[in-house]
Amino acid sequence: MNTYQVFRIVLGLVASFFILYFLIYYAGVYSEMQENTQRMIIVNNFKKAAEDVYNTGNPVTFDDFSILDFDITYNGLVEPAVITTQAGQQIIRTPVVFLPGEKLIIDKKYLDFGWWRFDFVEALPETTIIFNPTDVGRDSKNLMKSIVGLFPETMGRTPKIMFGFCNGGSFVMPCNSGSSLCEGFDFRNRIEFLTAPMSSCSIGLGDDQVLVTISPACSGSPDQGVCIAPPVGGSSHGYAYLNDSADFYIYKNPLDILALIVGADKENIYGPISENLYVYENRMIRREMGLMSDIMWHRSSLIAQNLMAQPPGYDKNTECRNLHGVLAIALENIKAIISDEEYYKDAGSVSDLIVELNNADNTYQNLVNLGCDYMVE
Amino acid sequence: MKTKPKHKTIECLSEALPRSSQFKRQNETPSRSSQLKGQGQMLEYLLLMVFVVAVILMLMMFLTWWQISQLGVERAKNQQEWSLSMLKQFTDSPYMTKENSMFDDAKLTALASMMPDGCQRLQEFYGDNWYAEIRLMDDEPVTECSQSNYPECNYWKICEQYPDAEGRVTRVAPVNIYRNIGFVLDVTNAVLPRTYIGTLTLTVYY
Repeated sequence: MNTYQVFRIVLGLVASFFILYFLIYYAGVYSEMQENTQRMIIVNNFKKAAEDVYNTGNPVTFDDFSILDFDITYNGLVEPAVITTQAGQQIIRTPVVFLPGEKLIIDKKYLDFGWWRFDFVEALPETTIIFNPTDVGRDSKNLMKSIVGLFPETMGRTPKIMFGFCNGGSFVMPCNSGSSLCEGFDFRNRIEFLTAPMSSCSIGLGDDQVLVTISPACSGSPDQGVCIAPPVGGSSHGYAYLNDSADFYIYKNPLDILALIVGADKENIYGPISENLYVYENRMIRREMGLMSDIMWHRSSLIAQNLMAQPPGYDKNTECRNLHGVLAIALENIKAIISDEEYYKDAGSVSDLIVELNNADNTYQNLVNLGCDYMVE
Repeated sequence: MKTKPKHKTIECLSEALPRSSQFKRQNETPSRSSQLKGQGQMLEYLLLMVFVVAVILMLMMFLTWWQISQLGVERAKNQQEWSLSMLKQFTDSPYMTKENSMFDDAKLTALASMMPDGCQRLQEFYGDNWYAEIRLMDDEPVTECSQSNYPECNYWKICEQYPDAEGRVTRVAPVNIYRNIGFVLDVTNAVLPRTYIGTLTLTVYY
């Protein structure tokens, strides 16, 4: 073996090692880059799916998150809300109550205020809601029905959102002659047939099951899930309590309860998901309500200013003008209440807001009934 | 006869000399040729290596360029999709419409001229970098709506144009515009609101 051959072998080894190292390194970087691109494409697809559902109202099943294994965190505490992955962040402007999962049902729901409708999107994985009603009064039944009504109807679709009861140490499956859990529509009918209160639930529940205790005696930090005290004395707001939290949460509409239930017993790096969603949806409603009440206030002033008085005997415009004035006052009051960013944590402000929202709703319905304005669809 | 042996000797010498130098050459020539051959092979080898490295580098550059160009394509696609999505959101926006694809002239006037921060607040929901114009198709000169001339107007502008934008996508869609202060009388002499046809021009820029 001469010197050249030795040199050739050494150079060949060095070059091969260099090329191999470079190729492996580049392949690693490239595949990581590709995976990150895929992740961002999936998150982007989710954003588009949520927007499409928000725009069209057609529910869809979204299963792109099952393609790649990666962590997704939804942060509603920042403005605008973002979905964070290891690949980056994606801004989500559509109001969406989102709980990450491999397969999601995305549906559109709304809160109707009469003069305005707050639309939002739900994106939820397979979930079973187990109610434990220790009270079966009218308020408790209505509360359960409103909660069930706000979840997506999954009949004929997957993933499923199912409902059942827990009575002491056993599950109560109310559908198919007591052999299976119910979907939303069937479950709402079963609620009416509840006659006796159930015992406190003592069963440990799985990751995709949430216990919702309905009890006037709810207090801080229930053992699991959410404990909701029905509204008392005709009030439109009540209190809810979360597992592992000594705080109470005021609810004034079913969306508040939905946010608390969906994230119950779960945490991410930003803290308890329930609290995160509760703060997020309240901020979204506040912001949208603030803008909408401002627009409607200016609109009422503008229309009232331009309605001409009619001849005596048929002065409908005067009535319309007066009602627009009343509506403007209610809207002004709503704006004043929600000018405080944390109004939803104060029972007095929430109570005042509900009164003003009812005033605005009633006045607007009068405007519609008189033919002065149109029905909000 | 004497010369012959002399000649022979000379011949022998002449034969003997080249033989020894030939022997030397024979000993030297193979090592030089193998040296040259080795150098040639080395050069070949180095050239091959350079070529292989160049091919690998070109492949890498191509893949990186492809990736970057795909991002550009994706971005352009997203712009198109965003503009379509915005159009849909606008024609169904509770802040501007009575119902789907029917704008409410009083809401538009409130947003466009009565609320100084109207654009900024809308941008919180629809994102930045867009502007919209709604025009009534009534063959009248363009009159921008405000509190003072409402309802004798036919044009609303939401947000300002951004002339320095690198690129823009504009979408135009026919829409209905609901006039709250109507002029039509029905059989009971009640004033009915009127619905007009108009156009929505929405531009997103980047």
